[in-house]
Amino acid sequence: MRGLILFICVLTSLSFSLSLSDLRKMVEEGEYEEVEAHIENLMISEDVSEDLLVILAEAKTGMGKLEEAQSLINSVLSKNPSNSNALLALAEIKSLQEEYYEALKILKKLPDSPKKNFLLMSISLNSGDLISVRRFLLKIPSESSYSVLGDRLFESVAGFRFNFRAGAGYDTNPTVTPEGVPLAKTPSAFGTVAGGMSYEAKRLSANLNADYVLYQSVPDFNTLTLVGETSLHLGFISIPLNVEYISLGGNLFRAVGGIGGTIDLFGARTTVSVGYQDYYEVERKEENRDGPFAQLSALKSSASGNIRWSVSGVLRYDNSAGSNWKRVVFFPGIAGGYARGNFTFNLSLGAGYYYYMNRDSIFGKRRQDIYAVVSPSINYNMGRYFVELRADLSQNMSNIELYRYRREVATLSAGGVF
Amino acid sequence: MRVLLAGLLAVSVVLGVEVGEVKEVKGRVDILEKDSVRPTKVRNAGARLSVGDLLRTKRNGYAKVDFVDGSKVEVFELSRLRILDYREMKEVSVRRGVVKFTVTSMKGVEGFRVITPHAIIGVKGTVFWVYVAPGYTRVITKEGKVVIRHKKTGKETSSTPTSQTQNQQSTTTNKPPVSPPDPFANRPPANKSSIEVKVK
Repeated sequence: MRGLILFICVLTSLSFSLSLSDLRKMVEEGEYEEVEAHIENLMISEDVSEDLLVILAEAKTGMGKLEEAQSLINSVLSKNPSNSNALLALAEIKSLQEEYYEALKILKKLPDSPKKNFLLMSISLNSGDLISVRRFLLKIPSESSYSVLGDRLFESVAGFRFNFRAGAGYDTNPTVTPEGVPLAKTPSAFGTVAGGMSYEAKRLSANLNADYVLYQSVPDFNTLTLVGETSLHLGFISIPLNVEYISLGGNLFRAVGGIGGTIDLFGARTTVSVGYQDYYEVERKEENRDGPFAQLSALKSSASGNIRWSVSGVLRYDNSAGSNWKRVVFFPGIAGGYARGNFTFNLSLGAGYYYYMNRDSIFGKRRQDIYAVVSPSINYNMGRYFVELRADLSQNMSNIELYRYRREVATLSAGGVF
Repeated sequence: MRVLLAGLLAVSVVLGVEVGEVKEVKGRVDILEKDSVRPTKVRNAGARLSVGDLLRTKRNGYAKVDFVDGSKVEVFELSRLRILDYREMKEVSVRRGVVKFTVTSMKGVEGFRVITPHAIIGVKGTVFWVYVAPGYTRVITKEGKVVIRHKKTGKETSSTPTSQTQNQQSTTTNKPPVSPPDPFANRPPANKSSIEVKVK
């Protein structure tokens, strides 16, 4: 009898030899079955701590026993609603149930941890937000298993991709003719073709795109746009570098280059950038638009179920060589999308205030513009291909008549990503 | 011959005989039999897998498995692959990690199915990768075609070598512009000199 009692005591003491830290490591490594057996064995003879219940819930989650896991978590949270490990486990369950909005609400309140950043990375991977994917992945310490798993998962989005788009449409004012002046607007049908490639790696992203618009009625305004962008991702900060070249036919062109830094500030992606604009030559020096610029922009995005939305604000200063074009711009915008089946319905709105620092050399007053744009679109997604119908309705209101105009553009396009 | 092989396969499964063999192993890998909590460490090639077995790789772990029908699976680190069935319908589940499948199709035998937390992936003679994390399943196809059915919505999509499909359709949402539009960026407002005469 004594021998039997001693044998049982030895067995029991062996089962106690796994510390909380050991159990957590086992869960990280995927040894869910052993963890489940160990903790349920302990529960036979005694009440176990909240920490052990949470670890048990994590093991059951890994095995796909979500209802059992959720029941355990609920019992812990009913006694201690601020148990951060329990909340983290609940966020993982919500992610597995594809309740991403609920998961994000929980995760945002929790302190930083490898698992939190891993879950945020997974959710961002799902929405295709690679900037956030990188940000969360680079925050996970490299010694953590979550970092290793995160690197593997990132491979699913890394590498080269190619895109193309072709379309046709109608533009009511491609020449940007002002209202109330003795010049007639020339509406025109147009065709457009675009293509590009992108490269994604953990710390580097790059893309190169070309776009050509061909106008039926005003071929002088045919426009070729080339844009090259690359960004270095260093975890808490990204450094974007971009170059844009627009050829407008003849000797007319515009080239812009800029470099900046992007950080997350209060949940918004905030970018500070500086650059230089080089325009075609003009006759009058007051109209010379060459010069440096500085810009501060912020973008905040979120999603709930089938609805996504984002809000942005831009503050910019153009220090053009010509006095007529030195200006400060403030441009807030909002965009939203609703997905249903293969369709996505989008709407973006923006309204900018443009304040020109000097009096116009001809009109003798400081120009002030308000530019408003509304862009609704419907997108039909067929795997790698898509079709889009889009309208861009814009109006520039100015205290100088010459700069007032309206423009409506409708485009039907199709394209794909490879 | 294929019918004979299919028959042998069905018999072997019914009799509980192995359906796969580990051909290559690196790092820490183990096999957990159904309803067991004591895993068997796999240190060398040659370990056998039966229906119900769970193959687990730990950090720096890797395993390559050949199945009796010629299909091959590579299980990368921190991943879990369970063999659910291997009769007419060959079915495995991946709950975590990264697994590469090379599936051979057999006439008279239903295709291969991979179950993840969010999707059911149907294949017939193809090479593809499956990436799984909480809330995320992605399939990248190297050869052939796979059909993915999203568990929650029932929606089906297909993945081919030039497309990549994940469990949730990513929505194409307009973002508000992060550079202010320049109404006269590309052209000056008509010919200002001819207009200034009129204005004056």
